[in-house]
Amino acid sequence: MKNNNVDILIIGAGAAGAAAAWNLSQSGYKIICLEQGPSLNYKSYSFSQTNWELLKQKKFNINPNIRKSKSDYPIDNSKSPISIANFNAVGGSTILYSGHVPRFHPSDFKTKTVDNVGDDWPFEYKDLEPFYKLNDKIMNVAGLVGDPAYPPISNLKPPVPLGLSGKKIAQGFNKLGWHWWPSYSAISTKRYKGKKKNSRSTVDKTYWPLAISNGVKLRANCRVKKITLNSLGNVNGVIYTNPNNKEKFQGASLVIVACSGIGTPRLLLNSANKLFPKGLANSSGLVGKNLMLHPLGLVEGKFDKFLGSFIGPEGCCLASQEFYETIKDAKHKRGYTMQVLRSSGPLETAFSARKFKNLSFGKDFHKQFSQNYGKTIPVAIICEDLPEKHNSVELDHNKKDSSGMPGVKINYKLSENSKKMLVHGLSKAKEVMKKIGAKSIMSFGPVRHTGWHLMGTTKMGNSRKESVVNEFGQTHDIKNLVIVDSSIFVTSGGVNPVSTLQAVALKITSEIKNSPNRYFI
Amino acid sequence: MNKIFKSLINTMIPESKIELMPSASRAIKISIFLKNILKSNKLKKKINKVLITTLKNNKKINYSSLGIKIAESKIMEKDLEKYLLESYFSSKLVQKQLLKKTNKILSSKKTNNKDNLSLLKLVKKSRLRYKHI
Repeated sequence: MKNNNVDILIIGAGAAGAAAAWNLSQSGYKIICLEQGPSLNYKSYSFSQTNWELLKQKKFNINPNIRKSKSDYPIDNSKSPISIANFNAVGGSTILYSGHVPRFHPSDFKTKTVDNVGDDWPFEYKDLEPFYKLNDKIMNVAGLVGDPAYPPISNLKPPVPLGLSGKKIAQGFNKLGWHWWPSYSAISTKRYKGKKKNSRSTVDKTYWPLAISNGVKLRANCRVKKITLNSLGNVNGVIYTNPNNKEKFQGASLVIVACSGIGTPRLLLNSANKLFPKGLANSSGLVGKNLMLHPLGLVEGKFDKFLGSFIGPEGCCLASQEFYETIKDAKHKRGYTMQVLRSSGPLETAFSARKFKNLSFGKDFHKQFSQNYGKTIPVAIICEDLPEKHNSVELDHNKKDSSGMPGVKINYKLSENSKKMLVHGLSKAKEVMKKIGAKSIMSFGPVRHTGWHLMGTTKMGNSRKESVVNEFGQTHDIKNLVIVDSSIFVTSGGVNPVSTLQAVALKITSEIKNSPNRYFI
Repeated sequence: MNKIFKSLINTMIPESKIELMPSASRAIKISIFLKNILKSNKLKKKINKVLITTLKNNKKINYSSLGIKIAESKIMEKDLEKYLLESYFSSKLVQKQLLKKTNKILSSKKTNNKDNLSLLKLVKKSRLRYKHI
């Protein structure tokens, strides 16, 4: 096989891989990134198209088992109440994300110390803060300064509009004296560096153009199947399939894995060899364990008046973190965010109304549709998920992807703590709805198709027995194998993880730049 | 076939002058809609069966009335609803009308956060402070 060695090889061109590639691109290293998915034209997935709701159900469905594109891999969710959502392409899951990018709280890094649950991270919020700030700048984050739920956050673009629905529910939070704050959104609220106003900052449009212009080579449709070792037990490259599905070898001095909380353990487990029969860098036996998913509850209030609640960026317009920390006398530990979402577009509204028998065909079709459209306010309860070893990802040798690589099986049970937290969150969100006069309120949880936030499966820590990577992202077992995605998270926080995982990727790659001897053989 | 389906889907989604919404056949191109649903062999068989049965029982019926009759019987409703809703609500005409209606309703109400100060006034009631570690 031909060997064109590079200094650094990054696997995965999503949120973490993109941040890592850009940060390292300024250091003069020869860098290549291999991504199993395609490079998409932005117009093909813009939510401003007339058929965007249709695309979301098919080609851009969040469920890889429905999309079944060549770049996806099979995921067996039959042993989990929450199914996995992702997207495989240059840009990764940011292609479909809502752009809601809140930070973790300082206490999220110290849950063992503060609440005697989970574990402490090997670093603190203040260590990550400069990287959050850098990431906010590149991801063009909008928000409002002065949020009392966080240490000071500055340099934000103007916040996304609350809209009528946001203002209405904000009054409910105010009446109850509960915290709420306009959302932190990776959405251009101002025209910025040629980006259209109101467009989401997906990493194929933010980090990647910068990284590529600095010389990083990005190869789409290249699936890495195995990470390989030399005779000394150090990583020397990867075996991947090229766009023609031919197996190739790419040599590298340092390999950085950024394939998400599912893709990363999948690759390590599939890279098992004589030295690491249980999976690469798996001497702790923890590769694939401690999967955390953020169980999500949904409360939807329906109102008499038209609120135009579908208008605006799809994700969050405001969030309440009143119950984010452990509450004295509550039955659960840690907490959750109440995230006020936009309501559905017309097609999803119609489907949902049909499902709940609120819409019939015939002469009353339009009247009934109008009674449902733009008159609801949905609130998502995003619960902190605590790490448990039995929640895991394993290889599924019975189902394979287009290159013949095994798919994955998810083993996940909702913990008692999560169940109690969900109950608490649903009841609190209903309280808000009642305060603002909702005509009817629907609530349920966990919502099945919400497994976006994939964390914990190659845990970070100081002990090689109790973790897979150290605080510098290096695997304890192999010096020149680094992981930078959310699989290394120690705990999950109660917010969307993308901002934190990008800050972590920036922190680790800065360490590579500053202390190369720590990583390179 | 086109005539039958035109009246069938128009009975399911008729025009509404009060709600300012077009009928299904004004929003959807029937030939494309038919092509789409006939891709499913199961549905193709069912359509043939329903047409034959309905024609048998209504020998002098015209195509338009046949479509109405099938729609009113709801015999095909479950099979067609996904295709119909997807095509209708993805059509440019329907989206244009919905946008027009939305703009009309919201035109008198400000929805933008004009300045951060007004937002800060709105959020001032929060007592929460983050946990210092």
